[in-house]
Amino acid sequence: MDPVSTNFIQLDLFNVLFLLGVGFVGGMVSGFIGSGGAFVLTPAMMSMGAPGIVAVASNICHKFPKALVGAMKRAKYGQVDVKLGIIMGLSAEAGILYGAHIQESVKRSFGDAGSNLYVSAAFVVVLAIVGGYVLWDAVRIYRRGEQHAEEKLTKLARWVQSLNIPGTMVYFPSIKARVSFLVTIPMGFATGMLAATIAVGGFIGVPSMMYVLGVPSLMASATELVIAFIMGVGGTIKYGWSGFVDIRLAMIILAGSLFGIQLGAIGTTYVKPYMVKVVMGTIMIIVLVSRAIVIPVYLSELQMISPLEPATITILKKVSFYVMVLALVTGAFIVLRALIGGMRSHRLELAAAAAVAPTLAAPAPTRLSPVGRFDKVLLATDGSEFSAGATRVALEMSKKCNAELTTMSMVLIGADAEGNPVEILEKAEAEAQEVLARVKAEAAQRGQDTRTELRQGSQPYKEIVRLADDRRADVIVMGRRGRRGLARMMVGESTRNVIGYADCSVLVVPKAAVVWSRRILLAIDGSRHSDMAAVVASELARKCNLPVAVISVLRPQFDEARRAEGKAAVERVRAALERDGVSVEAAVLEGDPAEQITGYASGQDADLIVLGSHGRTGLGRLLLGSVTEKVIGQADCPVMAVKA
Amino acid sequence: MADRGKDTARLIGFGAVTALLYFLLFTFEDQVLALTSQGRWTVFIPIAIAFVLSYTHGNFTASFWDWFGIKAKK
Repeated sequence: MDPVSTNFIQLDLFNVLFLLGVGFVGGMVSGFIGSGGAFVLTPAMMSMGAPGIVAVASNICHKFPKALVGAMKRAKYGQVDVKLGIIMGLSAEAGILYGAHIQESVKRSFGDAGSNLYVSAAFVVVLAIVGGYVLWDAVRIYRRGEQHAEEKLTKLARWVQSLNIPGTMVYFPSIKARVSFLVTIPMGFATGMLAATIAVGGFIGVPSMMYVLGVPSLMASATELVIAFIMGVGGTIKYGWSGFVDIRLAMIILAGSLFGIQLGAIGTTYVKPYMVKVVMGTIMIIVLVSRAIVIPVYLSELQMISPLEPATITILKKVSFYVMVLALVTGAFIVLRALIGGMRSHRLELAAAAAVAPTLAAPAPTRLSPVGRFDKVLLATDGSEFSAGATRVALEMSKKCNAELTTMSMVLIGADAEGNPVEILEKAEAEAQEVLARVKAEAAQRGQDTRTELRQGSQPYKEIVRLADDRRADVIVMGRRGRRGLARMMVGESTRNVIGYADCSVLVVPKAAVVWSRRILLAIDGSRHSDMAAVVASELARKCNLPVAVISVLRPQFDEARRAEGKAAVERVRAALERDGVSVEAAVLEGDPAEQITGYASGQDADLIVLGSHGRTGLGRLLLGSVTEKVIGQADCPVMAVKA
Repeated sequence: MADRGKDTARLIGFGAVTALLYFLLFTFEDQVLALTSQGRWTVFIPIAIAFVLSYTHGNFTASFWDWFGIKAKK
């Protein structure tokens, strides 16, 4: 017999439809909680006649593309910590190998029944401890009415985040903290071991990220998809190397599961984070019951209890399978219900916001306002690599806006110069002149011209702000940080001070960024600074013929009035931009503002972020808004801080 | 309206390509299975198929829900 007929089953219409259906439901659960959708598939395929190993191989082969699509979808919502996913995914690969090794040893020593007993016992123990805790936590949050509150760190997570083991610390954006990889490796390893044992590593992976590291629930479940992708690729290679993957089965399941995973991922944007715990805990407890039901069967086969009747064994196995299906269907039902409910209330909120929108003032007319005018551009550069992006963007922007460009550089006079002032000053001046000459030459190459200014001073920001005032600049373009104080902070002191003190807008450009050509992201908070930012975004959008995405981010602790205000502000700005003839899409997000803004920008392919800056006076003036600073520090694209 | 037209074109485009790929997979299922069952380096055939379908079908399913107005909360 050839291997095709030996290993691969004939498919009929019923089987195809059944796999599509199970794939869809499993995909929905995976899209929502990051995993847990696949455990029914292996027994389902085996019940169709597929050999166990082919069922396992084909299941894994559908998991990695599904996880990839899910991870990319949820990355668009800013929910994925790729670095954490990769580190845990790689350690999970090691866990899988070790888990498979243990499985084989058990099978060798105790046969199939021993192996099945081991798997079921692992299910029951892990699911009872972890699933019980997750569900208990979800119920506790619900009873305390903390569904809207920010998720609290566990004591364990606080301790883990306080650990400092030199040489092993890694920064993870999802927790905004450095954690030793000596902590994450065992977590990944355990995830892999569980995946090798019960096919759902996420039952350890997601709770460990939530409770041990302090990763928010939605991010943990999204990051699990990265881990699942890595484990899936590894597993497919392992089984495919021996020719066990039935690509038809895998792709049929994938056809259904991709519909499901999109829906599950969309669902996460409508629910409170604790719903991840509700779905995960519920599924885990029902699966536990399913596995507990068949334990007597295996004990009987191992003659550890008195033998069961064959009919009893058949009934117990069937009941166990249907309870497992029930777990999946229950999970999918909760996800679907949360999605439908969330969408309905979102629609009502938008309708309410739209109803009040006409009564609120629109941003000032663009053409008469000095805000949004870009006739005079000031580029501040120190010639370092950190100014390269600013130079590129300033040249391109002044060309697009037909603006007059002034380029300035600085000779710093400070404590360093005291020893041998003349020599050092001359050298610094020559270097600065060279920087300016380089920019002038680059401008000439593009058929542009730039005025150059060399200033001397001890504090760059003062000179930049002063020159901007002298030249009546409409915008200052500069790098995120300068040559000095490089790695000490994400946003350099000069940049921060220029934004604080300048009267005009400041465009901060990361070194690798280029001028915008795809989409402008306007982040607003309903303040007058935001309205000014809207004017700027509108002006730039029309000049460059680009669409604008308007977003407002609500913090979880905001009350209903504040939420309604945020939504109304978005609708108001959207209406104003549409009146300006700009193509607009609007969104109200929830979470940490800076993270949501930068996540949305990268997810929606926006290449310019515009936001208002308070420009405080007095002592407060020194404090650049923390959101603005974080956005500037984290964004990959230029950020325009608009001064009201 | 223009956006709706673009969405529809995207849905139909990705749907058609996905349907074609599935049609080809099942038309040549015996040949594909005969090849992949050999194992070893042929493992990259199912992996490549999975990647290609995850792209086309992933985009199709995203457009599908989008087209029916089931979109992420923004």
